Amino acid sequence: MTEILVVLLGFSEGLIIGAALLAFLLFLDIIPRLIRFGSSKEYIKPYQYIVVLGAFSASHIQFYDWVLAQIYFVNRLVVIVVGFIFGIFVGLIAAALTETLKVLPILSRRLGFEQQIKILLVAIISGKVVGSLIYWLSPNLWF
Amino acid sequence: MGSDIQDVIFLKLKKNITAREKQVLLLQDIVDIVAPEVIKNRLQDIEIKQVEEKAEKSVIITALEIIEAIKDEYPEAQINQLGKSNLVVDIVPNNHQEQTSLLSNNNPSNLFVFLVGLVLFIGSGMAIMHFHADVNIKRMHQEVYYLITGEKTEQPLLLNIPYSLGIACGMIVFFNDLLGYKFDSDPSPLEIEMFLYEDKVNQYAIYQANKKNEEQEGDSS
Repeated sequence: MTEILVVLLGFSEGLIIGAALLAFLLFLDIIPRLIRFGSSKEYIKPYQYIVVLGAFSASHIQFYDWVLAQIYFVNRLVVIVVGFIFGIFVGLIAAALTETLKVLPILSRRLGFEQQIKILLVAIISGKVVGSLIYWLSPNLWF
Repeated sequence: MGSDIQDVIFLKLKKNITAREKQVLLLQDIVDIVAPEVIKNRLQDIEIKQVEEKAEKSVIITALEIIEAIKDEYPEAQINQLGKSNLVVDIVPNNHQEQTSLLSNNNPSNLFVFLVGLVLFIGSGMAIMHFHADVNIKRMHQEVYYLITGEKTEQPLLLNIPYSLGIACGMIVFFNDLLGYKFDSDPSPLEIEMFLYEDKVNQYAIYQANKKNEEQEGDSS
């Protein structure tokens, strides 16, 4: 009896979180922007499945104590690539959130920065990178 | 009706016009016109409106005012007006170039741009650090690092540093813009937002002007 309850609990939890994750991604228009980047509209269906598959497999991997097979330096390269891709995704989300709050259009109009807005963009992007590096390089910030 | 094809005038309101204080707006300043050459030349210099408002404000010109002015000058004209029926004219000060006020300054000093840039730089950096602390990304990175390399380490810099650089790439892809370089011909979301915002401001100005007009008419009747 308790098992059934736990299964039901886990399933409904997952259902809501999965729906919320997709709603979040769609709301922020991240997938359309990435698709446009490679101008590959005909692959919309596969992309959908990939997003679902990614969330599904990642949530499983998290629960086990798995380690990939070690092949000399290849694993180190994989780590670098994975970190970079992870960063791209977080960068997309961060940019989309900044954009949703419409900070830049209003700020630039208030201050009359029509041309200089590109410089502000670079300031924001480099600020993100530097902030992230500071966070990682100083372990006493973590906890 | 006896109107000849020669009397047909097509006109379309221009967009985003600025005028100086006390400037007299002529027809050619505010509309694009298609008409036979003779009529066109006659119409170009009709006065539509004298700017009375101060700088930083805006004047609304409706298509009706323009049609009225043309009818005065050229009664038999058959006027076809295309597109929007209201036009917002932003008024700029006469000494526009030398203006140095902090607000709505179209030529801000480099120092000011630098200061705003600095605020955004520090602010966005702090924001990403807060985000990391909030979602406990440190443990995630340690786990992913262990999954791939099999090493347990407190500080998986091999994962952290590419991740940090990736953030920049993601944001550049999103904004589709790096100091003027574009990946494709689509406008960046920022340009679209700027356009939408200005459009909304203009629409609000038109709404306000219409409301004021209606109130005045209500008072006089």
